Amino acid sequence: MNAAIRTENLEKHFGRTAALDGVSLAVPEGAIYALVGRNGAGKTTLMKLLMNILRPSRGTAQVLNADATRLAGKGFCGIGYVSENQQLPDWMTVGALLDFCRPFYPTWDRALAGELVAQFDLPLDRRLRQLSRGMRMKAAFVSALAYRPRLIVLDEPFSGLDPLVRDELVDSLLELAGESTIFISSHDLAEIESLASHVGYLEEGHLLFSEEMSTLSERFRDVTVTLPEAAAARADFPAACIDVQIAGPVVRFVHTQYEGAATERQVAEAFPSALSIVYDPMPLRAIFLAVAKSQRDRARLAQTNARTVNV
Amino acid sequence: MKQILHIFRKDVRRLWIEILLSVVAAALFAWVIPKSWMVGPIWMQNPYQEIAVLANLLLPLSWGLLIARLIHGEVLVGDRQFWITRPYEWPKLLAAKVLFIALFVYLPFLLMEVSILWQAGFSPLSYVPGIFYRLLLISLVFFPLIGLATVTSNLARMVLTLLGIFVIFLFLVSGIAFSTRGDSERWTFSPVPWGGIVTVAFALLVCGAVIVLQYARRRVVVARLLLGSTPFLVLLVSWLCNTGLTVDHAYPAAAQIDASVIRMIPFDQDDRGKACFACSRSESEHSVLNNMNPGAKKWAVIKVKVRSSGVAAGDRWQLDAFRPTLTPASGAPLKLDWQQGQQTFDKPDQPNSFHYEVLDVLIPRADYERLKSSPLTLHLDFALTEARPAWSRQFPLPEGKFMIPEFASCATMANRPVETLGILAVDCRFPLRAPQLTTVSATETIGPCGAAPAQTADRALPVYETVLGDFDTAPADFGISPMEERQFLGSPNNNAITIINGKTVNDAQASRLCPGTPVVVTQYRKVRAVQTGMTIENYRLAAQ
Repeated sequence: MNAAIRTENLEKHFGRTAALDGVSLAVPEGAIYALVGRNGAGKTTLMKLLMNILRPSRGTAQVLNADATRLAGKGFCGIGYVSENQQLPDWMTVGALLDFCRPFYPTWDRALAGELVAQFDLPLDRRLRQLSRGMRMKAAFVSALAYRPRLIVLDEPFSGLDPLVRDELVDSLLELAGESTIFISSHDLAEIESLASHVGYLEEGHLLFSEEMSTLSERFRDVTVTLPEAAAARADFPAACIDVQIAGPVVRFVHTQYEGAATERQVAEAFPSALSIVYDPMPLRAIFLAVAKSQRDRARLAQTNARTVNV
Repeated sequence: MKQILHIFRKDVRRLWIEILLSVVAAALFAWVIPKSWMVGPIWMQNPYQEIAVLANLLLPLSWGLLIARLIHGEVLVGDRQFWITRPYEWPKLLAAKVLFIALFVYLPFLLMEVSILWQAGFSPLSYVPGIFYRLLLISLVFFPLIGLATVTSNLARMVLTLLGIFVIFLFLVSGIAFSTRGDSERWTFSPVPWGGIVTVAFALLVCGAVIVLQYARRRVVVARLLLGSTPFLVLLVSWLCNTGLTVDHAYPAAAQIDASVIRMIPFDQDDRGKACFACSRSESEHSVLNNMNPGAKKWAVIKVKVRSSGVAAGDRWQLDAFRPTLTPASGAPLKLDWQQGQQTFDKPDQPNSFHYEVLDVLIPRADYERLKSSPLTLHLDFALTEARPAWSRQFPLPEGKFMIPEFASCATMANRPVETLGILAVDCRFPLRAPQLTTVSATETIGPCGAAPAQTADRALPVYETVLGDFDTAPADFGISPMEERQFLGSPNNNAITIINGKTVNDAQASRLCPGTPVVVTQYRKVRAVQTGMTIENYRLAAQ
């Protein structure tokens, strides 16, 4: 598999704080890879490492088959990077921004730029500082997409935008899907779900999973077991089962390694008296919440155990 | 090249107002400075002088603003800038900035210099190396400004940082001045002619390294540390250039048998050294002890009178520095550091006359207290430069503006009525740098100027003589205006005391320079630099 982005044990420390800890991932060429995670999980740090804005403390990162720490100059001709925090040259008009960017890129497509400007309804004669946040983001998108980059890296591009602008931006991205690899971080899981082909989940600097959306959807099942009488709390749930909730005779959990009949047989054996067992596919948001909750519970349990040992 | 020009054009479009301001400031400077040069009676107010002060402020400010806005167009601090993930190639970005600064900062500066030189009556073509050397020197302003802009994120932060540096600098300078008062001149002695150039080159190198480092790697912390340590590194280099080792190198010891070398002789073998605590070195021999001066606790100033022998006619020897060694009858000798001298020795042109000069020798107070009661052997090493006249011109002193071709543009300031009171001062402007060692002499007239002016041949009249410049070989001095100004008063030189036929003649209040008096200007060229010595046996420090 050709990877547009590949990292190996990537680490970034700010003083004693590990913003990223041993992140290894591969983003296949042509994929739309969504990097999700809570605030402070390390998404922006990872993106900045990939763009050579920050330097890694340890590990390696390859972007378009080049060492990310050497990414500079012409290396950016094939990369479009847009970040919610990016400081654009506010004194320029939209037209001047596009005119200024054009000579940097041999592959600049004037027609595409014109189409995007028209699609986004961007006023070419207005200064960027006079535009709304949404319009500025659109201008940044045009300046990053008009040269048909091989890799598009978007750091929280939809954050704080109204749904209409979001839809316009997503549409513009989907038009380039296939010819470009898109690496996007976002909180907006519903939006990502409609867009992404691959997803990675980052939690406190650790990459908990990184796979195709379809595999992920296949792997996660919301399991509801109805028993004849109130179930007792039990600790023998396999590690693949997370977010276990028991409410009277109903036991609910998320199975993270669902493999069809084989998994259903195992669960049936675990609950021989079950009146019914229902397996529901899960949306990305539900998977995200279940994994996040499970991680939080594990962290708390580890803290409790540590305290017990210390006592 | 395309990218360089592309970024350059963008910067020009963005900064046209700042460019205009800077060019107007340079034009104003070039226009007003020559007009501000005072001519005529000293009490006449020159209205252009206030504008000149304004231009002197406006020009550096406009440079600072232009440079800061230019560099901050592509901020090198932080990780949110648009341009850092665009195909900018750092050498081209840097080249675009260099091109901009060359065209809109250096070129106006160059044209301004040429214009002022021209207006002062000097052909710029005769001073091409000096003009370019001044561009290098003015980089001592531009490079730190550029460096500072590369490690700050906006103009406000840069201004605050500059203010902070200014406050720290003031604090340090006043601290150093307070703690070293009494021996501050020890810091100013630069024995090696290339010491200044080396220090300038080093300062530019460090600032240049900061700039390149920032553009190539954007290592803000390292760059800030390097830039912050630049003044200290420059001081270190300056100190290294001024150590005893470099003095010995710059002033090789003269051969004992070399009769062409000046001999330094104690003026009065029996004269006990007179100590003066915390005296300024320019103060007279009979300075008043000032116990409030912190230098009094650290240093005693010993007055040592010396005269010379063996100076060839026409030669002039400059005592650049001296190094005292005091050896008590018992105990280890006290070898002190080199101290700056400013005296010159030449062959007296009148028979049976000679000059003596007073050296102020700084001795640590504690050592003074330890040694004052015992007889000593005082040895002085002298770093001396021999000079011979390169050219000499004689002309009658005019009233008003006058030129000394290829040397200076001068003006006399008269004391009205000039017919009786004479010339109060002569104000000269030298192209690009203070002159090489030059003497200006004229025979003064005793009494009103109405009578015929004094003639050089009249040996009975006091001779006014002033010494200008030094042996620095640099083709230009640091500054914004290309004209270096020196003013010398039409009053006797009090630094040297003239003895004629055993009688001291230093009271010449009634003497004055009158229009028409022949003036002799002699410029000297350096022949050699040597080290020689003088020993005084049985020397006693004065008891306080």
